[in-house]
Amino acid sequence: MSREKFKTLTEQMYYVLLCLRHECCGTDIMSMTLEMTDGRVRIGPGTLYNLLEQFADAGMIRETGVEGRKRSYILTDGGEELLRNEYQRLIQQIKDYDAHR
Amino acid sequence: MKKYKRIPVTYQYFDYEGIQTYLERMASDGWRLESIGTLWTFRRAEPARAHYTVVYLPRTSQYDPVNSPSITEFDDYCRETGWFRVCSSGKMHIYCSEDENPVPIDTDESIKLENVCKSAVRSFVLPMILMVGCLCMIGNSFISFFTKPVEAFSSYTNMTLAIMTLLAAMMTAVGIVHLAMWVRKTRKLIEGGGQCASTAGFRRIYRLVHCLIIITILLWAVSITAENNFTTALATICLAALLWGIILLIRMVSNKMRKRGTPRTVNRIASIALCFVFTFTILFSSITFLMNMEDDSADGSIKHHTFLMEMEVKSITPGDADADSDGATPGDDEFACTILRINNHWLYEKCLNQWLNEDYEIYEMMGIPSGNNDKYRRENTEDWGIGANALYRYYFAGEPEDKWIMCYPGMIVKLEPYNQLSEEDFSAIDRMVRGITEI
Repeated sequence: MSREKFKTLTEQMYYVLLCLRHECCGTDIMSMTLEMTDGRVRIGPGTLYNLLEQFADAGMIRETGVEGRKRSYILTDGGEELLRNEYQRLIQQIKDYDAHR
Repeated sequence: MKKYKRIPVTYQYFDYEGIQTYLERMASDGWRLESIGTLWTFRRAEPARAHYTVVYLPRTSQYDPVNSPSITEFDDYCRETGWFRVCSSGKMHIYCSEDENPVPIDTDESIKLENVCKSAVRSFVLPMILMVGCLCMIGNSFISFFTKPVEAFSSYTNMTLAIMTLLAAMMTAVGIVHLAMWVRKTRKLIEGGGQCASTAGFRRIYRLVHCLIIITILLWAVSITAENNFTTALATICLAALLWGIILLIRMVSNKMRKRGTPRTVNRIASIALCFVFTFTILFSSITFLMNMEDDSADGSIKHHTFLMEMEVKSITPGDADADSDGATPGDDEFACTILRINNHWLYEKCLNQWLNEDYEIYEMMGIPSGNNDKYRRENTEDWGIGANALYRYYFAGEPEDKWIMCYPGMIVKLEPYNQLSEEDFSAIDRMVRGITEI
């Protein structure tokens, strides 16, 4: 079920995983994504909360620590693979676009 | 000026659009939401432009401690973008932001759809189906319009109760159909890259049904008072109010447990246990009380009437029927007589059908072996010297019983004498009944 669910990633899923390539706090992901995309991609707190829950349940990320109520996460090997596959897919799409211009 | 006001708010559980728009309008009128329950509480504030968002979190519960980790963590995420939680009810949580253009809490429509569906099924669909099922089991359900028309249509109390269960069933059906249609439409829109569909459909129907239920409850209270003696009416209304009070009390106890940090499972079990204990205690006590109450009508008769039907249950003796008689002669045998006066042909046939099959079904229910011959059989009215259109006698195990049904234009009479009736008794009753018809 989880493999089917994350077969292709939405933009928001992609940027959450990208942010978690390095350990970071869940609440920082929203501001990091805004900065990374120049404000183009906005991840709502509800969506972020649900995505982190789903990624954790699917084993794509793992919790690294808790400071007060702030939890930190990082990608697992499964998460790295998922992100890499999506990156490859996007690259291929760009190549297909260039080839058929 | 009033600082608080409490209003009944009639939006479907998953109609987040309607709720958000309503709260924003209230905020611009100077009323801020404080809490939600049977009534929604609003606090007086400066009129302001505020944004509200309804969020559904399937993993939360109405039994969770007030500051449970799951909700406080979610609150922290929302606070980062300027949203603060106003109140919660079960899996539904309401957030507010006074920022000009806040980042929406939900920016992924498919996640939003999934959360609404899961929360709605657990918090709305299943409890509603359970409620309608319980109402039907308790009795006086809308099914009685078809299976027990005598009871359903002869008393405004029974009619209003049956209508209430019908409206409750309709409200459940409207809610489920609306949810299903909204989910289907939203899935298609999301697949095409769009947003969730509007939740406005059926809103007016839902509100109308809601209002009709409230009106029916008031009519029920009025009919209880009109059709029964003061003590019975007061006891019944108090019982209904007490049952409602129990729900509020249990909710209060549950909220206190939530504030004390009681774990979800303990809170849930305690609340359900309290619900069963209180409900059964009160129902049992009230049934005992009502059964022991004396009927204060002088002659022991019971009369009910609606615009469709009139039912009278009385004890009579054949002596009563003689126009020249001064009344019952000491020693005459009394028997129960139920008289139904019905204007409507369709209803007449339904009521007759109920009575013709009723006793047969009672014996079946009691487990008394019966054969194909155990039912009312039509008798020849001329053999008994009466002017009825039709006469039926009950046969049990092939033997005639002293249970009779007599049919007249616009009237059905059921007789259950204690002793066998003679031809003279029948003639006297026939004269009495036809005298009533002629009046």
